[in-house]
Amino acid sequence: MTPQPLHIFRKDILHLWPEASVVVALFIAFGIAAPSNWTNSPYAGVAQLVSLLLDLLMLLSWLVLISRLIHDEPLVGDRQFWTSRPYHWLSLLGAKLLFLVVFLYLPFFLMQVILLKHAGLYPMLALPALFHNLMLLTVAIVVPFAAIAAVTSTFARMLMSVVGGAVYFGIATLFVVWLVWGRMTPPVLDPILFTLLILLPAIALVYQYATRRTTISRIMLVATPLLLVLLTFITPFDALIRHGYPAASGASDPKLSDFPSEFRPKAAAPGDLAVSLGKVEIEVPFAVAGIDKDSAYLVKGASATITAPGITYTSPFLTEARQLTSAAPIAVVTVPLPLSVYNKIGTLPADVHLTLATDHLKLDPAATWKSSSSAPFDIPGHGHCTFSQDGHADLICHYAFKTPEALFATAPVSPGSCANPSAQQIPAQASVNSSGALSFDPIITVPVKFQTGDPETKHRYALCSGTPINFLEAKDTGKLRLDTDVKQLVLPNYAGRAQDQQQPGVPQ
Amino acid sequence: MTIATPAIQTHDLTKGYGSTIALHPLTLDVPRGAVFALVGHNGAGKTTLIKILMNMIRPTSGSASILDKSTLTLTGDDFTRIGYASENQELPDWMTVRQFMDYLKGFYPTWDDSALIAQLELPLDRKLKNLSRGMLMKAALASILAFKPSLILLDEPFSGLDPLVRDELIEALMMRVNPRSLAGNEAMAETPVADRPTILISSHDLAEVESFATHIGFLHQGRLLFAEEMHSLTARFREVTVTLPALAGEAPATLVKTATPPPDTWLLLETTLTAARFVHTHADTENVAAQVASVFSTGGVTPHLQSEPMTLRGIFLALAKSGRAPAAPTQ
Repeated sequence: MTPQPLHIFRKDILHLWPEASVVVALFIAFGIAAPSNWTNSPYAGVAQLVSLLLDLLMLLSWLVLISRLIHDEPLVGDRQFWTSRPYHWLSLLGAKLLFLVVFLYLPFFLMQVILLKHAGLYPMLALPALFHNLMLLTVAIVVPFAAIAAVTSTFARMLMSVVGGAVYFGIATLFVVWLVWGRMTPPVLDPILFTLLILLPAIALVYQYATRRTTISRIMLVATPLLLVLLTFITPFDALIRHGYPAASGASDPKLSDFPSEFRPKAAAPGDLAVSLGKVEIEVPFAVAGIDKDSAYLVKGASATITAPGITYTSPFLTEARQLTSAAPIAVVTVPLPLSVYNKIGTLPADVHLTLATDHLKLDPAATWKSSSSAPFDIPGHGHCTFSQDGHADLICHYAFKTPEALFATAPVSPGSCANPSAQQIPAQASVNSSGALSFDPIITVPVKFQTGDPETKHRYALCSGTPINFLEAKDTGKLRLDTDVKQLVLPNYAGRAQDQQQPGVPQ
Repeated sequence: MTIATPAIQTHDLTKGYGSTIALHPLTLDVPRGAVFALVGHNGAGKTTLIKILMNMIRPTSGSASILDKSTLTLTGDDFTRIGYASENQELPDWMTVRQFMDYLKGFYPTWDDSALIAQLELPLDRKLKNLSRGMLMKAALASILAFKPSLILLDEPFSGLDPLVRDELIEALMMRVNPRSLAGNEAMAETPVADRPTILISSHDLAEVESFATHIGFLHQGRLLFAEEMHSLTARFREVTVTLPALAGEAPATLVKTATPPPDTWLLLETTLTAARFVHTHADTENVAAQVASVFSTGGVTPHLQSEPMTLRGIFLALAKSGRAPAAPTQ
């Protein structure tokens, strides 16, 4: 006898080949249309519209396929013939999984490999990203669709549930965003939420196959977003951040210290006090020392305890996005202070204890890559670039799914154009960064714009073919908590002003 | 020598849907090899009971087991020994009969459908969705009998079928239950009853099952009024008529009820001045004449008792009208 999963799989092919064919055909269509988005095609505009349409059609075809597949042996109700036959639930689930692997995952994977190849990238080097994309596909689409199909009996009901579920999940997400608005999230929270997001629907799916207790499975699905909200609500953010960012103690760690008194502003900047959502933004300056040239510290969040006679206020860790380097010995973080606290302190001198949660980035030794306008040339992180068509100091680079975490480029550029090789070249720098996400098209396009620091926007600079480009890649090497005390601040002198564009306290 | 446990056992089994009780505490044993007819009106709870036995729905309380296994723990393997068909079962109607049989064949090591297909004249190339009701039930029954199950549960299999198709199905079913029974071969006794497949078949039509059931159970509004062997049932139920003879030249005697109430084994007692009629549920074991004498005073006249066997239909009507379950038969 044929193993049961294969027996059921064969039956599903016999029944669902039209739906599977549509899915595969849409993959092929997408594979044909997608390159127009990143090959300077004259039809790029049309291709984008077609790609958008194909995105929607592919999603819809997957929804139909998953619905038809699961509903071929419906799990809801008590009239289906298969429940009185010798089906093993694991075999049934395995057969459905096998069908999805063959008719969804495999074509998806192959389409992405072919597109990478077509773009001149290296699929083998992008395997982790390819599998990461498959995982995102599982989390964002396959498992939710399959779980909903498992607790519904028809496509119409499933479709309504998917729409309702999307709205419900959207509301829950908005609530979570509202809960954490402006706050730094502990490093462990996102992986936990992500794991729960995949685990709970997956458990509901498996449980439904194992027991067909639809009510309980539905409760599990409905409870998932609620659990995420609840977990976000009860998570002790600050304690976890302190735990995830150990206090600096090594001799090579950077040192923060009070701000030199000669730079302290003597009076408040002109303009009205800027109050946003009942809070005044106090920009607390501090001095930085002890950072070596190959390092940078990204400030991910900051918390401050402000103490004035009779008043102590501690802010939670709030999101920050600043960089501490050896080149910038003075830095500032923003502390939103409730207006009532601000008014109570008034002009009394206040002490601020500042705590920063930072990621330590270490720069790799610079690597030099030679540019070429005649053909795409490789750059670090398994990407490649071409010169932009406008003759400026711009490159158009392509990566599989995402760029390296932090990649910086420096190169000499020529004023005007490359027609005059004797013109003195000046150094320029650029950042090569783009975040990755679930995408049907694995190729991401990153415009790399070299900038010289010239304030005159009319001046043109060109990156010439053959110019060596230095790339610096920074890698995250750990997390660190930095503390300092800033004494005797007169808060109004550091408060943000509605018409004040300068950062108070920071010399210009 | 070991005594075979019943093929089906339930103990205080109940099922409720919110405030509606579909099954009141139900205790039932169906012996191995029996052809058990579960009868009752529509909505009596027959389908609910069968679906609980098949683990398609879960009971609210109580327990049930089939073939020595709790219904709650039935898994795929168990269904190689259990066959089930229902009038409202959803079959894969996109398949042809041939595809359907071939597909199911892959699940059963003991599958053999060639004789069944020929006997039931199944149209192999026609899709299930295009079959008539009768033909669909034939295909469903063939798909059960083909793997020779030890237990067959059929939920209203003959509902809405014309008599010809119904007889074909019964014949096909009974031939597989006991191949020699239709031939009237005395050797059938050589097949131990416990080795024959057990069949539980539900119906709201008594005439459908009267001809072949060996046991019968009556569900009424979720309550099992009784369950016993067919011959025992028909032996003990009698319609009794009591009449006083008219004696020449004398004033007619009248039936007068004494202080003694009628026994519990009497149902639907009707009386006139000179006659009484009732259904006796244990006429085979109780002294009817003595009971009549104690319930009625006849002024010294000896009443005439007439005891008539009853049809199954008559028995059920009597039970349904009286709304009572008869006392358990004396063993």
